[in-house]
Amino acid sequence: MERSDIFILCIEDEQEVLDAVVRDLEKLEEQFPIETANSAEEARQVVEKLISDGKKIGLIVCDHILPGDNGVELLIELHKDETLHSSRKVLLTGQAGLDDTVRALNEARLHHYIAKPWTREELLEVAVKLLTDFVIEEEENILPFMATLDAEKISESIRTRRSISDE
Amino acid sequence: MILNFAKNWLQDPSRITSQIAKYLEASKAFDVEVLEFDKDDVFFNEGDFNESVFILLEGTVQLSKKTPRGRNITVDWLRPGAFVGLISFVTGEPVLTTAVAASPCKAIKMKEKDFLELQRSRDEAAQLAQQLIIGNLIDRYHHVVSVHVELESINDTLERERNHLREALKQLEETQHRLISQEKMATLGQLVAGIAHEINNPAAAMLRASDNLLEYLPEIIHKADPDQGHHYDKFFRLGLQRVLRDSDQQREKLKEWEKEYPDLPRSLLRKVTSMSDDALTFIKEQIGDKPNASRRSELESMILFYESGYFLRNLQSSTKRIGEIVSSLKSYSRQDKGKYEKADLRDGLNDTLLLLSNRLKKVDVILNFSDIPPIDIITGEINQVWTNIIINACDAMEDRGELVISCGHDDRYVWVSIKDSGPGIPSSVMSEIFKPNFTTKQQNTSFGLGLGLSISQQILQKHGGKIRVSNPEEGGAEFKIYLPV
Repeated sequence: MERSDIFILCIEDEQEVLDAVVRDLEKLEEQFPIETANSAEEARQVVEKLISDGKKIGLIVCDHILPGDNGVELLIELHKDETLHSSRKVLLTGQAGLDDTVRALNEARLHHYIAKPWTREELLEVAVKLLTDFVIEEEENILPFMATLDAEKISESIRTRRSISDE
Repeated sequence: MILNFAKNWLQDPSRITSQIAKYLEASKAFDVEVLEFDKDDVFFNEGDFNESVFILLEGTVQLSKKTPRGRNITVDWLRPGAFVGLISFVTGEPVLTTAVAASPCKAIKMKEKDFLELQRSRDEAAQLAQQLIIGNLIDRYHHVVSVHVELESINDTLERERNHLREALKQLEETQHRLISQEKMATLGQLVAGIAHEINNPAAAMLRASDNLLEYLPEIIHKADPDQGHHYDKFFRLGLQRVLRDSDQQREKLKEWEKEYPDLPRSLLRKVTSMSDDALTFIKEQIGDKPNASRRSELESMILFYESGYFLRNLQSSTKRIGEIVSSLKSYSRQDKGKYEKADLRDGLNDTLLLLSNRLKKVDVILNFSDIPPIDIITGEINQVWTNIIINACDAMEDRGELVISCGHDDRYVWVSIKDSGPGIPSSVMSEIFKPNFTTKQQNTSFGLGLGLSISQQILQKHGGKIRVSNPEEGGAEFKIYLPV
């Protein structure tokens, strides 16, 4: 399978939890390389590096409580970066309050909220759905993603695109 | 003499009265009658129009009035020598009070014309009548003055009682709030203890299961690879003892390996390159000259065992953590029902810190614990004190900063100091913070009742201890708790 330039970024300070998140998303990695960060600071560095290498970030999965920062603030901050506007953002949390979640929705365009403990199916389903939306929105050639992502939605989109360009 | 004459009446009204009575009876000019009243007979009722006046010769008359709320109150008692109904008689207005015989009475009843006649007469009788009238007025005036004085003292007492009641009400409200809060904490404590108990069993089972797996997996691996040709056991153990690489270093390694083995999937290489340099060298030795296809399958099985190792380790460390949290919960919320027990304050502090670790994630907690002797405390209550102070510190620092907790002791006290790096306590509220219902928190905080410090202070007082607060020079706020040895 063709590796894409679209990365998945997982941010979580507890190694055990990070291991679990990465393991759950591993199925997608042949096409969407996974990067990890243990802290908000590391996340910023990783983002900077990826962007300067000309890569894209399709999905950010972020824990809410991080040492020295909170996930919502980080997502809001990252969202201010124009290159990350269309990145899909997921908050993975045991305890974000309503206020924080509302802020994340409004200011970081949070796309999904997953409460801990989660299941692998749940996380994968969300990741597939969000990455599908991302590639449809951002990529010109989406055919290669049919095998990993939501094939129905992608073929539907290909049909629509073709009919638009035919007109 | 003229000034004195009223005095005669005041000293002995009956003398003047009987003189008048005698005069009136003797004189043929007057049409007066002497009436006898039984107890409870009515002279006149409040609101009546009164056409005659009585001079009381014997007995006592009670004057009473209906209040706007319909209660009858006694206004005055009249004794022999007094006019009954004088004011209404003179003014022609309705009678102000009801007059009732409080005991059998004898009274002279005079009509208007007789009354005027008596005053007009040129002899001694007129003088007597004047004495009678003035004496009556003076008597009433004395009465008014003493009523005013009495009223004032009653008002005073009332005011004092009202203040007292207000104070008592305030105390009652505070006590009620405290009781509710304590009740809440007690309920919460029971709930927490219950939950801790419920989690304890599955957590223990998990820990045991992972211990067993730790024992069985090497055996299984040994059976799969008896002569260790595939080094499964080695990779399993590498996983178990996984030391995380610096992530930048790992990224470099990953790039290196991806370049070297472009046919291998990234997920596989990412895991491989998370291993130590020694392990990586070993892996290269193993797969270096193998054809692509078998290289991949060999790496995959190495990683399978490596991952089994570290996921088992994760399972162990996570269940151990659950176990620690549960045991902290249990000792934190111990159902000691107010019993004093010897305890080391440091244990309670550690339990509290562990349970608040989520709040403290972005806070540097520095413990300067010296050795302290165990002392008699009610653990649950003292833990509540730590919780209140630490949560306040977190609020003050907005969950970011430094929390220094130290302890020590002298002959009399064991002390604990909890110091934060927040903005300190404004001097304007320094004296208020232990008062009930003092809070700087908004409503969205969970326990923003403003009772935390007040309850803490009460708990410490109950233990014979005390709490002091200050803003140290280096900033922040410091709470120092003293408990007797």
